[in-house]
Amino acid sequence: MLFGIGAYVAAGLFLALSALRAYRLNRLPLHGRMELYPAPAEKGRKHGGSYLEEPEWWTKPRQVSHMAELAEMGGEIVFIKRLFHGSRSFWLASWPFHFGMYCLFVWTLLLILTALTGAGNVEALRVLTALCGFLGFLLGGAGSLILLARRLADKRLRIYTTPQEYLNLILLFAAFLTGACLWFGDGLFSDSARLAMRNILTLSYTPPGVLAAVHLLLVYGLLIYIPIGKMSHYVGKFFAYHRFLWDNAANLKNSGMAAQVDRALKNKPQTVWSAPHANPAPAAGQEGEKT
Amino acid sequence: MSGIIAPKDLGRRTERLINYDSLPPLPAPYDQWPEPKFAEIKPEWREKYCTSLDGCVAIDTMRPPASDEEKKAFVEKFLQGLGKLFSDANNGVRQPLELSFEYCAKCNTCSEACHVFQASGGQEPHRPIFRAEVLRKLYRSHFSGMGALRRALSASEIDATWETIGRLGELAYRCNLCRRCAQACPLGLDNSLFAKEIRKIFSQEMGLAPTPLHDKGSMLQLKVGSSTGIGKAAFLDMVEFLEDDTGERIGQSIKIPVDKKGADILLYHNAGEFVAWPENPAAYAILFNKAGLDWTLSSEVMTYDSVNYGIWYDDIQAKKIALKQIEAMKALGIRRVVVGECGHAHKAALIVSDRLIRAEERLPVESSLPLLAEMVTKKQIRFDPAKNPFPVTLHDPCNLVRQMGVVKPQRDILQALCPAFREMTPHGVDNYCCGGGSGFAIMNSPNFSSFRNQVSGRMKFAQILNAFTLEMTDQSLPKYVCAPCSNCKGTLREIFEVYKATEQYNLQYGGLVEIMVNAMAELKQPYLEFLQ
Repeated sequence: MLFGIGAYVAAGLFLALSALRAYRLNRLPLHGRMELYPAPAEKGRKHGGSYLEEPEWWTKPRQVSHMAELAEMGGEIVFIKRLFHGSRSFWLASWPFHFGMYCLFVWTLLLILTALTGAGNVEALRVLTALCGFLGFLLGGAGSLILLARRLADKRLRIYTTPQEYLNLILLFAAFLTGACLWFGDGLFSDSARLAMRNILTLSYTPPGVLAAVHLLLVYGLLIYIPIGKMSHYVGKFFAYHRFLWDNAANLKNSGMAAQVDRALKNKPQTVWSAPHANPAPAAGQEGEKT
Repeated sequence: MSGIIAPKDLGRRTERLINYDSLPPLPAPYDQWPEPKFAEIKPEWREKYCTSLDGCVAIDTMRPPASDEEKKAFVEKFLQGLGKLFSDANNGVRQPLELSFEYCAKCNTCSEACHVFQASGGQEPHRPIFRAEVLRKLYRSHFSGMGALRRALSASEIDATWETIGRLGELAYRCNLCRRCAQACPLGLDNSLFAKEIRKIFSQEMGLAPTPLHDKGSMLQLKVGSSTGIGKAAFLDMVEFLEDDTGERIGQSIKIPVDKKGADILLYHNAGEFVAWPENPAAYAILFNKAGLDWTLSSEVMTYDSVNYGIWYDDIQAKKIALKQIEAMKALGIRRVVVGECGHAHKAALIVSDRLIRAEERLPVESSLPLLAEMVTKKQIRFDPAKNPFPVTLHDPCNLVRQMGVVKPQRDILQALCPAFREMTPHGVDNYCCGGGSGFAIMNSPNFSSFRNQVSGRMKFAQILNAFTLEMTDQSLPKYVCAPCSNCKGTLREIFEVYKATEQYNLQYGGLVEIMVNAMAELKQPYLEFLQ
């Protein structure tokens, strides 16, 4: 029963802490424009251009392609395009690791679905579940191990790697390894895992051995730990792209951005910088300038 | 110093942390040339500046503390500023800063993209994540609740000493803020932001910034209206001289309107153009007049110099200048502002200042490049491309291209008017910085120009040489690098001089409008000086 409750607590905390992180990032103050090109939403400008290529750009309707933006983001999430182009050797470890995680996410959903609906006997679902589990544990485990080995072997990476970053990879590898050992047996990531999932969901699960207990504790621990550390970049990446690199909304009269700017300008900072030019002595009857 | 320099080594007691004695070779014909000598440190400089990073000095106002008390005060002041980066004093940057601070996976994709890291021969402190990691460790040691524990437990933490902080300040001026690293980052983070934020702590909290950017830059501009120091009377004299000189040169009189009430366009130049490259504003005048545009220059303070050096090192100065410029423009009675060939002025006027003030209180601002492209594509002016038969390549100013997305207009022009136009590799939004970005172009003393000309400008010079591989050694054939940006032109001028590229190989540089005027069918004489 405890492992069943633990699953609900861990999953709940994962969602809540991830949402909290998103909320915190979202409520940071409006920043100045710092966009970078290419910005995929710029319709018809695959060369990397923007609406600023138009004479009197403010008089023309913006041509925006949300589909292009989604496609770019999708490519980045599924394939990690920038890493592929910028650092192929790193990608060879990072992509399997991330793709393995995605497979395990789908695997978990399939296990929940089949456990709750009794569709576990549908052969296609059984095969798909087994495939996702197999690929997930294999790619995730191999990826995390290679990432760890790379950091240990390459002195130039090692000098930047903190103990916490090693710990992250060790915990992940341990979870993949124990999971692979546990679920590889009966039913190849499918039947025994589905049964365990049903028992977990109905709060009637008791680990059959130490391996299962260790694996589940690792998974529950990671679900709580991931959103509070830098591994929560699945949240940060959204803001980094959509609210930072691709945010080129102009402050035009009657626009949504104009309203945001108006609100931001009303917030006067209380902290001031100390250099003489930053905070000049106030003239008689005037306050010093705050930035 | 031998071995790999780790972030914690930044405070190591050594005379110099980095040496540039094995820079990557340049392409032919410079593969056969000895590398020009780097400007050496004079012994007395060690008393006056922080020379222990790489022997070059950017922050010429940073005096080494003389006593332990001064060292302590210096470090405390820095830490005080570091804390403010994450406070409401820094609201305009906090979201991107916190994202970049928190999420870096240290995959080093940014290093592959960084021209300074590559051109330095892979010197570790030039790796984009190096200064970010130093700042991260300093912040976590001094501001996180676990800071004391971290310092006690971890040998990899960094001691906040004068050596560490002084070198970190210098290191912030070894990044061009071109943001190519951010473009490459799989997580969308910006490591150049840390260089800018360190510069801000030094300037906004500690009052330390390079003299050309601050005292002779933004402060002078706020005082007299232009970082060139030119006042209204001198500006009007220069315009008058330009009319006479250009008229003589092209064989027809030209009129440059100044302070024309109710004009449609205020043409907004970097005032440095009038001093260093007057043929550029003159070419604009020829083209705008010929295209029948209703335009004017302004002689009023803050409206004849579009520069804003604040955007490189100090948000307060940037904001003060931008707001004064906006206010002064509104008083002119013009309808729109069109920015001339200056990359950082484009970014300052269109991007940085966009959210500083209510939309109702601004005039619309645009780049001149789309207007110039229309003159060609809509045949508003008759051009003869045969007048530009020589090889031409295009440098993409980072501010204008990667950071604003103005990519195509300049290409439309060059493809139409220059039969021997060819792109550099890479180009467009993937370009490399000229090496003079973020103020380096105007920072020369005591010896900073060596770093700019031979390290930060190295990748650009290599790109240029590669663009002209077949023609490079033909001295009789001019090879033109079109650089539609004042700072980029300034940098190219210096690089070409150090490597004697014009003298030896007839490598030329200039703006976009000059080559357009050179192709005007009605002009009898070539406009470009090297053809005269």
